[in-house]
Amino acid sequence: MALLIGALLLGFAAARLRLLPEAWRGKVPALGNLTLFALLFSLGLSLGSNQEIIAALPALGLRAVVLSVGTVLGSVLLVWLASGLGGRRP
Amino acid sequence: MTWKILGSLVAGVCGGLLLNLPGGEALSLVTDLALAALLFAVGFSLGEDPELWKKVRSLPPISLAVPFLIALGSILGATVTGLLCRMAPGEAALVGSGFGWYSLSAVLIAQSYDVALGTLALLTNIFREILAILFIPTVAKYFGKAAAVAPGGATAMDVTLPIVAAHTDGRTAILAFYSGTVLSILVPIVVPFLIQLLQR
Repeated sequence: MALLIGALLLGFAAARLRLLPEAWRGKVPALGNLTLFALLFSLGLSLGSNQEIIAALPALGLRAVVLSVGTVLGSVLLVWLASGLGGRRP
Repeated sequence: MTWKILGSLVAGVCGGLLLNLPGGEALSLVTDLALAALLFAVGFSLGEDPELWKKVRSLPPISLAVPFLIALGSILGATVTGLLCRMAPGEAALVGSGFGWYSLSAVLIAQSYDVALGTLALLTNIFREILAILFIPTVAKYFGKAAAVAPGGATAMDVTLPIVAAHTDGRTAILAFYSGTVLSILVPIVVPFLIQLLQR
């Protein structure tokens, strides 16, 4: 968690204090996208190589899908209702 | 964008199935570095916005409650859909309280409650992350920017943060990071608490 917060603050400071050479500034979003793809690829690799997960899918997969849909719907609905109460956003 | 992200994940899963890598320290180092680079990029794009503080201050006060609403909604949602699967409500609630942090919630549940339920928590929270990647753009469009923070749960501070940022605005990205951080702190508190309740 400290690594993540540190990286976020460093990125913020680098932009505010103009620490990066002018030519690099425009390339940061592309770096972000590339690392996101790399991250999801490596997440996929570790999931695909995990025998425990693959073996559990047939028995527990459907139930896990239903529960995950429940968590997403429940959390989205509560925040949506609350943001209606707290003044709708533009 | 969504399809490229999903494509990366699917390619990784296929690669993992074929190669069957020994679960690796190296992979987790790569993951940590990639996460750091990702957060650097998000921080950088926030820093580029000269009006950011003004926009953050314009967030309604209810924004502070967002992670707690997400926590409550996740637990209630899992409990209700758990009933559809004929699960004990308490156990479904426990699975939902991983808030998307699959590794931690699965280990906590497997170690101090039940191994099978730990595995279900692992899968459920992995699927939550995948659903978040797929549906954050849709949620942002139809349920508002604040609601786009919800699907990712605890991952709103890392993996799903750039997706929220891309489909909302700077102040919602800050809200997502705040919410993901609070939820990450809540997982190791709420999961053991629910386990205690279940073991009474």
